[in-house]
Amino acid sequence: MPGESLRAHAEHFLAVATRHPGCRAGRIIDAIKTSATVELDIDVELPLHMKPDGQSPNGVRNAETVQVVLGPSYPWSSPAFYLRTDFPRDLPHIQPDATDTLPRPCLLDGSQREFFFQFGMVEGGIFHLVDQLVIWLQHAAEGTLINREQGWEPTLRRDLANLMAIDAESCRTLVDRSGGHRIFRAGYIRLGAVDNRLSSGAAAMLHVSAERTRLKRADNDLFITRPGAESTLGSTVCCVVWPDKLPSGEQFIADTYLPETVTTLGALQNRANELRCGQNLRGMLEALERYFRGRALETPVPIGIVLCARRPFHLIGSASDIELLPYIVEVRATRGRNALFASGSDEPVAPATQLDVANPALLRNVSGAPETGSVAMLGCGSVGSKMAVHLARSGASITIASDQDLLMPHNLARHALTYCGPPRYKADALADELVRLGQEPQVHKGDLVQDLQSVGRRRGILTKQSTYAVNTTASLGVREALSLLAPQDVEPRLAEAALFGRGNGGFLLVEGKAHNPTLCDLVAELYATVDENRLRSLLCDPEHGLSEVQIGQGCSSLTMPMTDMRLSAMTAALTETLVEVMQHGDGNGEIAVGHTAENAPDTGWSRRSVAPFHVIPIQSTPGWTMRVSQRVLDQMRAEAKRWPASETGGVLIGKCSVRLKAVTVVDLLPAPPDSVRSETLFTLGTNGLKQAIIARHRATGGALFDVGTWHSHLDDHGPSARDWETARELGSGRPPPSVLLIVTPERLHAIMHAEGNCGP
Amino acid sequence: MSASITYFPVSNGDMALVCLDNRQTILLDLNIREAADDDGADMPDVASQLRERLERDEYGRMYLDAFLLSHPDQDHVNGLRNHFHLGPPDEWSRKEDKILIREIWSSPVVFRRASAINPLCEDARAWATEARRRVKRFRESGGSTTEGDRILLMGEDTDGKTDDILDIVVKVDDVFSMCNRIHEEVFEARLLCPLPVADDDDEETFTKNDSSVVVRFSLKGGGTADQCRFLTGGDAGVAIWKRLWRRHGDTNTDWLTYNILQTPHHCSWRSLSFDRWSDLGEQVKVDPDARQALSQTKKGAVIVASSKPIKKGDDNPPHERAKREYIDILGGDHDRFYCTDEHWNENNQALEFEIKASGITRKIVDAATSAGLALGIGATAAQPRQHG
Repeated sequence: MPGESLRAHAEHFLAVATRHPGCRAGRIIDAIKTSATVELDIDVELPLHMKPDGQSPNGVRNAETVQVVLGPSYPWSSPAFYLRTDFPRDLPHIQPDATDTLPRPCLLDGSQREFFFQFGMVEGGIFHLVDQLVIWLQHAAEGTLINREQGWEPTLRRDLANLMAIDAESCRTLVDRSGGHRIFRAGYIRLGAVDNRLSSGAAAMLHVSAERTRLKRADNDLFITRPGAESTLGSTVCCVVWPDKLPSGEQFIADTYLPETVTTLGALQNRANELRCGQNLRGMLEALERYFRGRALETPVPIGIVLCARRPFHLIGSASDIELLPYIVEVRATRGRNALFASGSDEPVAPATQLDVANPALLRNVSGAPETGSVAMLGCGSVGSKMAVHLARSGASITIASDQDLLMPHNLARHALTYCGPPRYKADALADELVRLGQEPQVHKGDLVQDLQSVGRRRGILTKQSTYAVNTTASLGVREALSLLAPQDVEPRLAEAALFGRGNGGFLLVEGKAHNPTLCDLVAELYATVDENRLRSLLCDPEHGLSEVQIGQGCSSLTMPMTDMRLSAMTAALTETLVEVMQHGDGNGEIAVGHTAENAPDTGWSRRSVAPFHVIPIQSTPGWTMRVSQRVLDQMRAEAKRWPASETGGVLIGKCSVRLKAVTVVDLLPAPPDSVRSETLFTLGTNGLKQAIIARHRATGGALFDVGTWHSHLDDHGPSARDWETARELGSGRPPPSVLLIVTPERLHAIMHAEGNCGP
Repeated sequence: MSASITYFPVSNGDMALVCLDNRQTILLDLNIREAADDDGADMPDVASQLRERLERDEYGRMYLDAFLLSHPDQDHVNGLRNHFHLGPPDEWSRKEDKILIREIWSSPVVFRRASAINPLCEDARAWATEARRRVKRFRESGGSTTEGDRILLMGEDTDGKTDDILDIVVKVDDVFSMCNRIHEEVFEARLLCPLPVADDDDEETFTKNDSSVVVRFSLKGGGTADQCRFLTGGDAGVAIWKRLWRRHGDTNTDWLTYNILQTPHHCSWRSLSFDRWSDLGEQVKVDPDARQALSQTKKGAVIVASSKPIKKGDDNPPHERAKREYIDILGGDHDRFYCTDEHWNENNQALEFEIKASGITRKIVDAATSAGLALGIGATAAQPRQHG
């Protein structure tokens, strides 16, 4: 029999509960088919000074009898706990049930059933629930159910029928020390017949806009009603009221927890008085009366009122100490009425549940994410779209969505969006998605490589509003176009995020302050410093690199085959790293690189900072510069120190770009053994050198090669005639430029033969 | 933040840890028995219980901010050498990982020679050596000692021997409020004893016990000053309590008020009465002055006996008649009298009082540690299980 089985459960519950040290005794009250009731005598550990009285000043006794009800689905549902009928109800963390039911303690922050299940054994669940009860009662006696560290418990609301969507963070920013109120336009839906009251069958939902208004007599479109078959739609207002200051001039703090008991306009006015919002509320209601004088409406209109209570410390789950208490009351402006509120101070008022409007501050709070700068997203492909959505969901502002391509069906394999209508630009589609998250991004749909070089168009891409601009295009052209910019033209800090090795590797590069090191410098530095075999293989092996994949008939796209899972995992980690750099990065450049293990999704990450590169104009070739990594310069200085009495040198390894007019040095090869050093001459030998250069070139997937030579001078003299001659020989030997770098004790000189192939 | 006082279950001995409202820690006496010392392996592991409440400094050294030794008897200083670093702080060894005492609070009695009537155990001798080292260090350094070298002397020594180091001496009846030279207004303590030897005391009766340091602390808790007063007095006997009442009973009774009293001498009869129980049995009389000194309760006050379980007819201390007297002081409320070992046996947890903004509350049993025991996890192994 079901009743019998519940009785057995009740006996089992009792046997376990009474093993808790705080549970003195217990008994089964009844066990019927649908429920069983158990009573537990709980010892409450009162603070010492309360013990002689046998109870706390707020009425919690040193022994409390608690009813536990096991429902028909027990143990698949949690037992319910009820306190004695005269238990003080004005404490926080008590369910706001009707006063004719037994008070229910709110034992847990979260689902009680999940907590009950959490301990595996049913016995563990029972024991820990009883434990929560014991602790709850102790905190109730101490008056510490609200605790400063956890935060202020927002007032529990009983009725979920009435809703108000309002931007809580904006409301809170209104609250100042001296008190006031502000009225906003709102839309509403009202359910129930015209005659129904909020207390009997009617319910309303308000959507409060950010548009401020005043109750001006001349304004005829403030209150509009459009009655439908089952509901009425319309426009109305919502008034946000915040507390007046104290006579002493100090701000008023509402530090007493008041359970939600407002059901009438009179009670609302009293509550407003208690929160020191009374005067402003009265003023607003009088203004409403004046507005409606001589006007009539056929149907009742719900009005929103939000009382802002300033608490002594922050609310649970929020950094703010302002609690919003929203209410809805109905205006009945019928012809021949006696009053705007038909029942006067008995007019029903419904506490409403506040729903938030999505906005960056809300999302950041919910995510527990730090406040970061704003980001211009250059590239809205799979990596860019996901990065933008990750950032927006954690409350970072996305200022620009830039992409020149259309969102095509094949993109849906990995794109953050699942759009399937007529072709749209990726940038437009992503921007629309971001608007839903409370963002207001600008859209750029031009060719980044070209537009970055145009002063006017560039200002629309690298805006002053962006603290970072992230290149996710995987385009070398965009990287070079960004790196080419003069420091004064780069307002945001530039970064690049990209995947490689079919999503098994990913890197994030962040430029240093003043645009140095640049993205191109950082890529070269990355290639030069890879020292891990798997990473090198993923980054440099042609087998893993970019490959062409057929997507539609005659339509191909330069993209890497990989699943959405792989791409998302890597992109999420890159975004986390970006946020971390935005938070704690110093003025140096940053390289973060990660890769998966062989045949496993485990991903290891390393991150390092890169000092600014030394930028040396190359003599006799105007516009060209040599960019030398600090790490390499340190190596050259160390080598020169090893040969204090003679010149020494070696081979420079790096990259060069005719577009950037730059030779970038990120590595060295030592002088071969047949090199000759003397006080005035260093002769670079050849033994094994060519093989060494080719090996280095291959090891970096063809990214790095020999870009010239370096040698030391014992004093601060510049290039000698012989140096110029060698430069000429080097330059004539091959099409890419070759540079001669001279390292003197104090200075660096770079020379290149002007007739070499330096490009235009 | 909150403060707390923990009484470790050390049978007949004292060991309590005060955590101040600024996280500083003060240990009052020590009785870490080795398994071989007493009745075997079932003793609570109080060394671990102490260590899990302490923090480590920037050098990785676990530390106490202060250690008050009431008097140098075995059951108040037991385990000092095994568990605490003694000697210069820079000789602390990571391998041994002993607890560094930033400042020791010691009675000047340790400077007196051990004698037939004043024998010292090994740990007490080590304490005396350490105290002398620290006083020497104070003299050498011109008063600027660092953590691990610091000392406060509880009372002046006889014959002016401490006159040149008064900066580190707390005089009887004075209030001190610095712990490890830090003054953050988290506590005040009034030194009530050791009282100088009175003319009518003879050396025989004025033993080590009566040289005990008696202190009345006033602790801040949950940000509120004077939230908990507690009185602790080592093993001081009835003569001392009688003298304290005669000294302060007229004018300064407030100096003896408490929320928590640690019974002197493990709930011994000899702290309450000059009469011998063995001679008179229930005819004994409690000394009215000593009782007054120990009766200045605040509302809801509790009394803690740091002792083995208290049984009628058992050896003194603890004494069942003494327990009755203390409960009488509490207005007959048995629930406000605690015995450390009994609390351990019932709760498997040291007796701890938390001092919060809402008042002083005995810490209730932690579910994580009690659940397994309560639910009988491991009970299969509680006894041999025969299988046919």
